[in-house]
Amino acid sequence: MNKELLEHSLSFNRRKFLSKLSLGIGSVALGSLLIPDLFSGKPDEEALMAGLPHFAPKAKRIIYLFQNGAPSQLDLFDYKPKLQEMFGQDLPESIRMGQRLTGMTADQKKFPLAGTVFNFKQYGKHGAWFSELLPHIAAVSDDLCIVKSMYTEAINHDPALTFFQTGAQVGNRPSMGSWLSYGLGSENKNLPAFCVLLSKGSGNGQGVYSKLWTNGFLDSIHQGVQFSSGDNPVLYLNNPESISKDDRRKMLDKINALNAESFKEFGDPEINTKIQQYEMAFRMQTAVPEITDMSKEPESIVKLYGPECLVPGTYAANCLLARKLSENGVRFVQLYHQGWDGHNNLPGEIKGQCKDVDQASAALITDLKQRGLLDETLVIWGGEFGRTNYCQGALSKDNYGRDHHPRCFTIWMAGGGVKPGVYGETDDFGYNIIQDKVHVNDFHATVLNLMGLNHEELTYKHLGRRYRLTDVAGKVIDGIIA
Amino acid sequence: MMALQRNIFNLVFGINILLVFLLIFENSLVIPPWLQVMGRMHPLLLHFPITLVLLFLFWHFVVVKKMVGNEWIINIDRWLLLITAFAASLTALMGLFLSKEKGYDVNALQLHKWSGIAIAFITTIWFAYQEWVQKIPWLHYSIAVLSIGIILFTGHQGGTITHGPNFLLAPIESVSAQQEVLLSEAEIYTHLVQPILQTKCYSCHNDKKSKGELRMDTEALLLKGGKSGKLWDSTAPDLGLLMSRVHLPLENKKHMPPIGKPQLTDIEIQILEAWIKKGANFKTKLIDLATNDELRMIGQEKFSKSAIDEFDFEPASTASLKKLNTDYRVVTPLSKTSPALQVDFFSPAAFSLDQLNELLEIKNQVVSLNLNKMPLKDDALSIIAQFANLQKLNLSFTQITGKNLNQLNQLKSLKQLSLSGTKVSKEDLMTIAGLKNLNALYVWNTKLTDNEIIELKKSLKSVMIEKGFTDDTSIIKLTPPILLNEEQVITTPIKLKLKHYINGASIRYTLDGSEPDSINAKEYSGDILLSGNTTVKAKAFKKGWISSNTIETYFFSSKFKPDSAVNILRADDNYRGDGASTLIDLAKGELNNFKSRKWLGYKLNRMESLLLFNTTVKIKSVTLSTLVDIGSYIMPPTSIEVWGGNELSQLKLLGRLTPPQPTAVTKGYLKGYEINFAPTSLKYIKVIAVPIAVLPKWHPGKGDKGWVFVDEVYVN
Repeated sequence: MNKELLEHSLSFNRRKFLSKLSLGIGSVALGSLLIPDLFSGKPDEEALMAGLPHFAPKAKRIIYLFQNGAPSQLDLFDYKPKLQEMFGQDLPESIRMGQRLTGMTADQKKFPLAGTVFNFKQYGKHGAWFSELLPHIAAVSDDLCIVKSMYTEAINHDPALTFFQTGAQVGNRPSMGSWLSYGLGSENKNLPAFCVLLSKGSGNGQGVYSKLWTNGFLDSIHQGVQFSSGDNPVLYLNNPESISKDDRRKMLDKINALNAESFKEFGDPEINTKIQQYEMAFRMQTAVPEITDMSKEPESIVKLYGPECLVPGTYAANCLLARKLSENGVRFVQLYHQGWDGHNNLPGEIKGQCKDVDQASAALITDLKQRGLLDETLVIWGGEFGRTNYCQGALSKDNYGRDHHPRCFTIWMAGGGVKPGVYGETDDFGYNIIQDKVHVNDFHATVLNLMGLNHEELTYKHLGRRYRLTDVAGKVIDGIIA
Repeated sequence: MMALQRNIFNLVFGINILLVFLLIFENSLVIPPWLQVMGRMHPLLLHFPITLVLLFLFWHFVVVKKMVGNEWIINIDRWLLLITAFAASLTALMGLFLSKEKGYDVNALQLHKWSGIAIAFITTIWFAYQEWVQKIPWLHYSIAVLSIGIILFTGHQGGTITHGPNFLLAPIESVSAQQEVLLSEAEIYTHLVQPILQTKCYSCHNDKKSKGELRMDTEALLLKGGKSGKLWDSTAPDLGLLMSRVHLPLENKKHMPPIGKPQLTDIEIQILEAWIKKGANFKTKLIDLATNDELRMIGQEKFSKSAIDEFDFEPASTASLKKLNTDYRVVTPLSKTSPALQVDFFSPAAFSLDQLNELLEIKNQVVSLNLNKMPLKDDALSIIAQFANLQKLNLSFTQITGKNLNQLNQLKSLKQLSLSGTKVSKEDLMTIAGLKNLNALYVWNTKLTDNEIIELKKSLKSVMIEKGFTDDTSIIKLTPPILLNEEQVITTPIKLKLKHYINGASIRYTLDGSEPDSINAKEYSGDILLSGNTTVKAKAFKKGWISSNTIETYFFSSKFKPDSAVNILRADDNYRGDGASTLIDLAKGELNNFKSRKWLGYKLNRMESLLLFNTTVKIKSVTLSTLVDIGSYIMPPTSIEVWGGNELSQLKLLGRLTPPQPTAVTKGYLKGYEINFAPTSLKYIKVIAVPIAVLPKWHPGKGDKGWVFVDEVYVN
């Protein structure tokens, strides 16, 4: 905005340049210092070059399968036989080292270790461990980059989730998808660059709020667009009854003319944004129904994702829709699947959750791969933190609960320039990281790097300082980049 | 000349004599540490002679000329020249001290040294003979021009020594001149080791000049070594001759590179050492090394990770880019600095072959072309074949048949080809064996059989062929049908609305509570009307699939809506809904939100409510709609009684029900209890439902009192 104001005032200075030469030269020179590309003189080129990667990207698009509520890494990926050996014994203080606890277990007198009740096996050429709950994901393990050494600072859902999505624990910062939309723009001009899909599992759920896909202080065009499961996937997109497409077109033409007038007068870039958004919504009226129509998917796809993929609102359906959106150039598709917050009855709940997500998550990878899209699409799967190695509440042989654990957890990524394999290692208790820590900021820096963006250069000036997704931290983790 | 000027001039003269003396004995010069400190002030002082020379010339030739005869001006003129000479001489002296420190490129230093000294001498002599110089105009002017020239030249040379060659002009020289190397392609020898040898060793060990009978300009000659033997031995502790010579003290005659020549930096020594330690292989690539390998880490800093300058063609014009970008054809550069373009087509309905033809304007720049799902036919291939630098081509789900696929052989750079969902055959694919750079081919959802793919792999050896997921013979289970009816209370007959999302799945249903099967149960067609309390059970079937689970829904009938309702006993304060009218508002409570105002909850009190009609109605059943959520202590009532009559004081017991109690914790469910009785005419109905007094032993809250939750009472 500052830049526009300056340019606006400078456009008068160019006129003065002829009458008051000295002042003109001075201010233009000053202007060229303030607006470095003032003399490159090609606004067209500038507009075209905005929203381009800083360097050639490995991935063009992201599908983020967010497992909301925090899946237990100890029951899915991070195999710790020691916990089974020491079943029921107290977690040594030397391991816990004063870790801050949530209000749910802070009063607990004992922290009895709870080894997983599920069987683990190694899969694929990297020998990655998977529990029996994820047979389909295990089957595609050769394509996965499994990061076992993620850690975060937050210990409760909302701050942790907000941290993962926006790079800050407090709200109102732009979401990851918004930053990418801002940094790279939309690939397909007929769809939003950032789409959000929600689904709910049977387990203990935690809220998902629209602040997670907010544009924060970025232009509102970068906000995530939520697709819902009913007849109206995008709310308020359809024309009201008795308004035809032509009527709508005529109306838009008139509105755009008025808006263009007012842009000429005031030069406010938000006016142009508005025009663009109206135009995109108009094109979306055709594009969205095409994409959300699942009836033309072949039966092999239904079998690949599981029959639930045709039932709107399920995780499987969202995975299939995510593939279709991504295939059509949507930069960032954000899924949330709720129900992973296993404080009690974890073994029972996690079974249901895995049944929801296992086949469809793996199917998404296979499906992208068979279309030749996996290498340019980054798929990310994971929650906002991990779960404790000790039991919350009563521990029995086949039942336990796990509290929130920020010090280590597992996420995996596939496609888009990541290096398949297992990255990072936790101790025998699955409590601390012993090798190759990856902080949430590092994760963001790495993801931006894969998308061709330097996280230190992708900035936006707001309230007097420049903000980044990684704010003042984060380093690119080369070990997970192919 | 006044005394002060004379004294200063003597000092300047002394410095100049010292300079001459030092130059004569330069080779045996040893600078003590305190003089080194003086020497290091050279970079500070040097700015004075530059400025002063220019300032003096300006004064001398402009100001003095204009103000002829002004004594004061001429006096300043003299002073200026003297200070200039002094600064130039002192700077030259200190520069000489500094030059004796190690680490400067001797060749670059020589010119700077002599020109610097020249400035000192010229200005000193000029001051000494200024009256005389003034009288010979040609000398006067040429000495001025010479001074300017030399001062600029000296300054530039100094800059080169400090900031590196070509420091001045680098920003305006074209960037593309620098050949950037990709990390993925960098070789240890070619890109890390050889450049060191080139800059630091070749000058004495080349085809013209091979000191010590050693030449280092080819791999074979490097391996051969020189007069003293082979250059390295990876197993020796000192790694052999080359490294031991590098590590000798600088003063040692055998130290390499010899004293006075540019020395190896620490990082260069580290590179050479690590390379030799690894066996001095000439072909190893950096990415073959472990990620934490020291050489790889050095390389990671040095080489770009991305394909910035992978392309040697010119970028397309901005005008073309602008023109070719439409809402459905998106042309974007790979990155801000890349001349390469990617093109994506969206929306099949908007596609025409002309749009592809128009792209020929940028045919050299397009490296990635995505035509996924576009309705293009075989004739498009001849256009596509003209995109000479194409690396990635997506033709999935297009209408190409595979005929003329061999035209793609012209795409010499093609690396990735997606043909999923097209009609290509093995024979068609055999014709593109000419694509030497191809490394990935996607043929999912084509008619290729597994055997054909195996055969294909034999002729396309370096290509990864992805056949994707094939619809195998595994039998999977259908999802249950979905009930679309939102209403759960039937006041007038309603249509049953069921749906299944899988094509070809049939839905069978029953209305009598029996389990639907594939033989006896009716197939759902859409024209079923529901009336009265009804249990709908439905199940999906499809040939080749396992039939789905059964869904079950209860529809409540409500023929007579009471005109008002009164709670005789209060509902619990936390769950009192909107009072007794909640029971007759026909709004069903939700299963998972018993806190909503649609529910009335009872624990201490039993439910005892009165339903009132303004006129007499003839009824035969009353249904109590309840919630059972055992985990939340919400149980079925232990007994339900319905009383009725025309006078409040004369109500009779019409019917009573003792619902069965559960025996284990289950998920919550909604449950209706229907109490039937002989048709009775009445104006008042009283309903009583009793919560369980003591929760059973198996319940987590055993011994406590349980709850009853009611949302509606239906009268039929």
